[in-house]
Amino acid sequence: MARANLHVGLEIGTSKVAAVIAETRSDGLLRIIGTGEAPSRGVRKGEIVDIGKITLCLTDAVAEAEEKADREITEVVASVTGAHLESLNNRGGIPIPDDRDEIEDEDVHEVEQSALDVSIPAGNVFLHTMVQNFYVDGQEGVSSPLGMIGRKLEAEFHIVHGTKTRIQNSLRCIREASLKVTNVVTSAVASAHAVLDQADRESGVLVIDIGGGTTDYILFRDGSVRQSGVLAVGGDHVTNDISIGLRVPTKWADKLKLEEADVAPGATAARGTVQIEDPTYAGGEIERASLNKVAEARAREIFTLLKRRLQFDRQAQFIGGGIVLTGGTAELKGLAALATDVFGVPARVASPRPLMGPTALFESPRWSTAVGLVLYAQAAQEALEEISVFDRLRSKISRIIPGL
Amino acid sequence: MITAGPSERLAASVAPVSACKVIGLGNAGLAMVARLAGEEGAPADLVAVHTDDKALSASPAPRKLQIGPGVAKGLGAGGDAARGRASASESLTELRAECTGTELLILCAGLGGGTGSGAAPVVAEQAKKAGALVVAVVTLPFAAEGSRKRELAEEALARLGRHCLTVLCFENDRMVEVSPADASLGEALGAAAGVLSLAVRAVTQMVSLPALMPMGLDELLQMFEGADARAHFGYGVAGGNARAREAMEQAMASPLLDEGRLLAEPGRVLLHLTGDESVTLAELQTALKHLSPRLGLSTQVHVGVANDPEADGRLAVTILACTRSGLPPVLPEEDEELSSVPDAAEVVETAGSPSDKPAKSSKRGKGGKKPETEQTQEELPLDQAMRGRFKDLDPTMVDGEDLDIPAFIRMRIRLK
Repeated sequence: MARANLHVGLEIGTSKVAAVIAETRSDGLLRIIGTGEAPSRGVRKGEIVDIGKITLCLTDAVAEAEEKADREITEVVASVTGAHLESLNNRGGIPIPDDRDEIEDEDVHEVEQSALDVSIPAGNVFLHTMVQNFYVDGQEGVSSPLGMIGRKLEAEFHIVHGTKTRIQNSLRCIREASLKVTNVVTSAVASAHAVLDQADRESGVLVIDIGGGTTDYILFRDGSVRQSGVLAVGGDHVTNDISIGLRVPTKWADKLKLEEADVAPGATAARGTVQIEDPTYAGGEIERASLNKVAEARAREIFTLLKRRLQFDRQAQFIGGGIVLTGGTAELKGLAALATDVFGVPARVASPRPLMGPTALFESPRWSTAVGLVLYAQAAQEALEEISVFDRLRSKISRIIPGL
Repeated sequence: MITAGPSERLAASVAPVSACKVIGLGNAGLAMVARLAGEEGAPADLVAVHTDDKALSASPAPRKLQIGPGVAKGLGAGGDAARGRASASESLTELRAECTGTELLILCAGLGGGTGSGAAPVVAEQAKKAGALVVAVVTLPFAAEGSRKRELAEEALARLGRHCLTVLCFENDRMVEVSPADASLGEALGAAAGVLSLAVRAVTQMVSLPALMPMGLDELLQMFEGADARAHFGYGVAGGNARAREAMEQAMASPLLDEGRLLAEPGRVLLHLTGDESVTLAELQTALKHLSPRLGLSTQVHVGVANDPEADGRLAVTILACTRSGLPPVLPEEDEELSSVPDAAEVVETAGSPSDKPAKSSKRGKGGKKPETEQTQEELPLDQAMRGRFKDLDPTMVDGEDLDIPAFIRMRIRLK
């Protein structure tokens, strides 16, 4: 099988490294053929602090996926996250050259470049330029300007940038493992690919991917990205809060978080206790109310911060699809109810949309970023092929009609 | 650019005197209030607030409030800011009640000690919550008092700044320059206290005296919005024919304005004149002419003139300058970390009273802001413990809060 039909997504998360190998079948459908997972070590708040440790983890995860897929991989699409990621919206515009009227692919490329003419901090690089709207001669609502007739092409973009050195650090360990990174995608963009369909994006939706160390968010309106970003707070913070608040070791705090904590509004009044059966821990009983209060305070704060940062109240009416929660921490009991309470719109927990492959993958929000990466890679490749088809077509036509 | 308050606001923007209150907090604050109380026509309601009941009973202030009777047991905070803070926290309700109905609160305190450093930010926060605009008038310790005290003061200053419209800070080192070199200690301290009470009076007069060109609370608010909360103060008063020029020269020469050099930094400057009806337009112009050449290009000047019938032919000039870029930077993250700690102690109910905690002040040193500090790691245990597994990482700062500190602690949620 041609190499281009194999896509590998590699997420180096704060709590786990996840590798997904997928192939595009001859009918164009994506099929996941192997997955691997290893607990992360040396990652904090989404950023790598110990390259040696994490390289071992990712080697394990990749080896497991390779074994299941029975393939050897050399290239991956990697996700990045971290508080250094920033985004902005900008509009670019270019005149169409006088010698033609029809908008070509190179014009679209050029208008994108003109939108990148914004000042970002020195040392930052662009990661994504996602189109929101095209305008041809000032006319709005153009979804694809290719082939249209006009004198002026403008477009609005959502642009994501981040600190170059931090991105390089995230990717260095992949090179250490003798793999090549073909594409870098933010976790938010990847997860959105996994959990949303076109209808969700059109009706407007806010995806909140809460992982171990970060909360990555991305807001769609009218089919395109309007806002995105990272808050360097995640499930680890819930664990840490529980550990400090209830004075239990981290291992127990994590277990309490996963198995017992309930962050739904009202659960803070829960009665009863949780028994800890750990001979090394003398505390014995944990008040449910206290556990829920600690976890809820943190989760509520994350949502409240995002709500403020996004100025969500102004957008709520455009978010017909509501809130979509994903990422490992989305498995926290009561999280959707809490999100609904904070944002005032319906919220649900989402796992990756079903593809062909092991079903366990599509039953857990933990896999969204990694699955999203292969979907992103496939979409990027299709877009590339489309362009080359268009180019081939145009070159054919131009032989017939000189001057085109 | 020069903006003067439009004259049609003349009547509207005069705050009633009663809406203005001065709280003196801790030993230094009590001293300032005592001085104000001893002066004729005290400018506002004076309230003495302290943990130490003996100091309170000795104060001539008409109103007194003892905070933290349980925590401090009627003694001073003993230089422990955590105890000062815990004392204020114990008396939150009383403090809030004291501030209710106050439009402008002038909070006087000396930073670097226990009560002032610990309680002042809490008082300011409560006043702000009660709807008051807070102007803090604080002193910073002498350099010779050591870096610990200095850092404690800087930290308190940063936290105070978040709740205050502005903080007029007076460096004790600079204050002595107000007096001649051969002045006795008593004279020097007296002169320093005099400058502080002048500052308090000037701010109250600005908003409370009938205005010719009003400087309302709204304008004060606008002036300080978005600027560094720290302001610098210059004051001059003179009589006679050349009083405008002389008063301006005095004000500009004030060591607290770094002899006028601070004005050159971009920012905002407030020029306020107080005099009787005899103040002329020409005098205002003289004052402005004197000021303009010293200002940076982008500096915005606000002008106000108040009418004090008791000025007796003298003209007083007040200059407040707030630079846009902070002066000595206090790293916000350090600061936040710190501020949450005593609360944490209180909420988590780790054993003992707050006074048992290691001195909070010490951990400041790790920020590297002051290379000369002798702090070592073992002096910073408490806040680091609160950050748990994030203790070795850069804090996640959002809106001045360190999100690595447990949310329930910052939200003061009580656990059983």
